[in-house]
Amino acid sequence: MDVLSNLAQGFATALTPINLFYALAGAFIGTIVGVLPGIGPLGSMAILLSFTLNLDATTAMIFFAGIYYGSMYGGSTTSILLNIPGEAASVVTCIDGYKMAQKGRAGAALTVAAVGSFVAGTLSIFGLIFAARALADAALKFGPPEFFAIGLVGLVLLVRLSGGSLLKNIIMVLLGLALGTVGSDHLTGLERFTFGVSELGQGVEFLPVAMGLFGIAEVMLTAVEKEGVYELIKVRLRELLPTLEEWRRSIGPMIRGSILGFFIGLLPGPSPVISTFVSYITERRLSKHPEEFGEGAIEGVAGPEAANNAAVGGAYVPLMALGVPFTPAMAVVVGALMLHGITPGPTMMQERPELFWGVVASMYIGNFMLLVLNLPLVGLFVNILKIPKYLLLPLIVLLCLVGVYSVNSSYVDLFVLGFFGIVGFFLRGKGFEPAPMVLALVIGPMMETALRQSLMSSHGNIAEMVFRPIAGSLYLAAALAIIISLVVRRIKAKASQQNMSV
Amino acid sequence: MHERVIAVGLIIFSAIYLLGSIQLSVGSLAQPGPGFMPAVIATALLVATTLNAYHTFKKQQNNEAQEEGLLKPLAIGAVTLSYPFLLRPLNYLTATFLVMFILFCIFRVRTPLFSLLLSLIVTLLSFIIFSRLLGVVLPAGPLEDMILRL
Repeated sequence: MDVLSNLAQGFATALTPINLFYALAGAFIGTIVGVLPGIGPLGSMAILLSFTLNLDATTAMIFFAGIYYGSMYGGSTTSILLNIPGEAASVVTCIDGYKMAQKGRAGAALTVAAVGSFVAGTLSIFGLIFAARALADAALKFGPPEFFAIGLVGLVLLVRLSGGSLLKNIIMVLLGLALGTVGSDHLTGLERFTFGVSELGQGVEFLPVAMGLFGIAEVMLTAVEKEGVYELIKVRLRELLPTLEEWRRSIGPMIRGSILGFFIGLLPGPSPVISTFVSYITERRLSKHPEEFGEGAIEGVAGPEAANNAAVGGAYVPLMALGVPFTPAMAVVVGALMLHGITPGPTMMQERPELFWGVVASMYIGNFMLLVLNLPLVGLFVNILKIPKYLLLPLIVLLCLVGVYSVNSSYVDLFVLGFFGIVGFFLRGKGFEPAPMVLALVIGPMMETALRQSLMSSHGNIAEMVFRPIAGSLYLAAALAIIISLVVRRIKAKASQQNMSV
Repeated sequence: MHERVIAVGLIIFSAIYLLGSIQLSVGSLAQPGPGFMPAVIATALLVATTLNAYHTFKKQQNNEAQEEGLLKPLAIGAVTLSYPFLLRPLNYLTATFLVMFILFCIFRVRTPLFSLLLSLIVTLLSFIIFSRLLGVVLPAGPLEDMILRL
């Protein structure tokens, strides 16, 4: 009853005209971002972060939730119609979605993707309500050792799951942690690595670093790519309806994808991307017609599309309950909350219930808006790809510059933006993923304070810090996850070696 | 070549960071000081970057003749870095116009005249949108005041 009344309150908050407008605007912008390859939800959220300063915190969160959901859905449109994944999380949709489009079933694929996203969004919201509440209640009993354990385990899993080189991911995490130590020491007030620049006393701001690494670096990387020529498969409105058989085959994958996506979303790292691959493999294994996968199986669209949207809901759980972002996009959400003077964490649900429940309700509304907005406007969204690069890229640079300046009116922040743009260009070009660095920068200061408080209270006894029920379980779970992934990797390597020799 | 430069650059950064950390008060396990966490991170970073450099130098280098391809992105980076230095003395309109014009030229927008016009329109529009509609406080001088009064 408590949940229902809170949810009703949340809907009352989300359904105000201003919040409805921002939910719609977020879903619309998110879809555009999802359609365009490159910028990504993180880049767009980072760029738009500063422009939410004048908004109420709840409205800003509603706006970001819309962008995140919209970008997940927008990526699928280009995957199906053009075989171009706007987002990494839409790569899997290309496999069967584009094949369906080639067979004249583009409309059905788009509708199933939209409905799958809606179903997943709805189910994951219920997951978020219950999981976040349970976790937040438990988190009220957490002390510094537990928070350090959460941060450390999160970063370890992030390094393992981020893809690419393990060593490079470790370096990026350590660089992020190093950046997090710039500024006044939280416990003693001593200035560290500020080189006499007073503006660095508050630490390196997250926003210019994220926008440099994701926005400016992306523009620099895209500048050297050749402009694509796109041939669009046209879809008429009457072709959007799937057949009864297609519906029947899609329901199971949608529900399974939602559940898988939600739980994978709880993990640190690129959970929406991982969830699509897991869902695709699961559906192929469960299917009575595995031979159709790769040739236009509707299950290959329904499952992954549901999974990537559900993962977004899952990613909100650690943020809302613990105040710890496990994905870079959630780190931007933390940045937005901080800008509005709100520290996310276990007490947020009690102190700012209208914020938590308003966001939950707006996610539902955002999902509904995506459903009604995106299908009729498919043609418009895909035509966005025709905007020439020479117009789009300078505008992104301008948005980054003004966006960063507007937060603190700081010239140092602008310099940090440019510096990390160049750093990001070189590092990303050589396979260094920026996401672990950004997350470590956000989590790092919290981890440092927790570590030092834990050591001081345990008089330097590390065992006392580690062998506690919750912290110990977390370390054990992380160790198991690493061991299992190493064993799986070894088995796969052996199997491929045997195949080669045969 | 670039990969090796990056690998060496990362080691240099780690070493400097380690030196800086040690100069802060590291403290002990029971009383960790402000330099404790930086020292731990720096040590791990130095080990990781050294390992990375070892792998990079061991690898056979592909002939990365990409210097030409670097020109455009580096020019974009340089323009972005120069923006704060232009913004302070020139204020928003002039600084942004210059930066946009250079960016449009870098991206080879049809003709220089077209770039000029486009930069002018984008600068003016962005000023009106950010300053008027979104309430962003941008560095303003007589030119900006004049536009705001219109």
